[in-house]
Amino acid sequence: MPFESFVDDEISTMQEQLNESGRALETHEIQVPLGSIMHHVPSVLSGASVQDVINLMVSHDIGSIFVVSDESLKGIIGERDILLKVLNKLGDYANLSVDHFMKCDPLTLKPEDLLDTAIQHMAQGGFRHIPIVDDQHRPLGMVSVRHIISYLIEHFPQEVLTLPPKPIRNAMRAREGA
Amino acid sequence: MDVRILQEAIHHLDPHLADRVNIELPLAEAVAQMQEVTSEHQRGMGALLVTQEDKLIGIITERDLVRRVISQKRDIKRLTAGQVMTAQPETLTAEDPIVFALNLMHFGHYRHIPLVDEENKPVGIITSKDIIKYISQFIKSI
Repeated sequence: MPFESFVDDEISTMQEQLNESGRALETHEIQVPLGSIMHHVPSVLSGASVQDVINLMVSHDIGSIFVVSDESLKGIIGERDILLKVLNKLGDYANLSVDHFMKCDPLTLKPEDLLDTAIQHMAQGGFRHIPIVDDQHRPLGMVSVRHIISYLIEHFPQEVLTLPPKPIRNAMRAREGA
Repeated sequence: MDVRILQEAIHHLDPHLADRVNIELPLAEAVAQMQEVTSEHQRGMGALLVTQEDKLIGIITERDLVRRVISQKRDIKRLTAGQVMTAQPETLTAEDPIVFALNLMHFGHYRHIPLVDEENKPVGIITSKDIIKYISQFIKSI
């Protein structure tokens, strides 16, 4: 069966190419401590106004910020909390306290916890942000879905960075022009 | 974790059906639809796809609403979906590899990628959270 043997050869060649070194993300790359990939996020004090939160989100171009009391993390508030609980529902919300709208006592991790742990928590809990805190529960930084995707991309350089960033748009332009 | 998992087609992420609104829809109604979908499913997509004659022409995300409406104190009752959308968003098809979506999310800073068919009609949407959920299957559990 020359045809089948040809196909088998092709498949085994493809498998060999895929199994070449450097194509897998090694375990130690997924097990980086969160302290090394977390990002700084501003805080507001418990009792701050919704307007303060919105101003900080816009000026820092950030989707979720910390609410603290006595330096300790009390909650986080994100764009979704504002959108769901405030917009179109309350008349003059700007001066209301953030405490009414924040997510209280969110899941937190420590800087020495590892990236794979954060990924599993995000997948299971549906979280987009996980605050990183110290032993006194003071916020140190945030790990977000977006930062994890960026981290992964940086560790898949040969496959990801060589792709055109707008593959389909270019193809569609070509179709439209045809 | 093997890089081949990212070369699979996007339909392996089991994309959500897209919530869509017409470009002329008053924004208050579009927001109400977004709020309803999110509270029904406990976790929403965080975005609405804006269509005109069934074709995708824009997207409205939570971020757009915070930045273009709430922070500027614009009156939601005097706006339409088309006035706050991001026009001509980047799109993919369900057959494109997942790695294309990662690429767009990283370089374009998008959290949502609409999926369209060959006529540019929206068929679904994927979020960065969907990708994290997919990847989580291939790494150790907690």
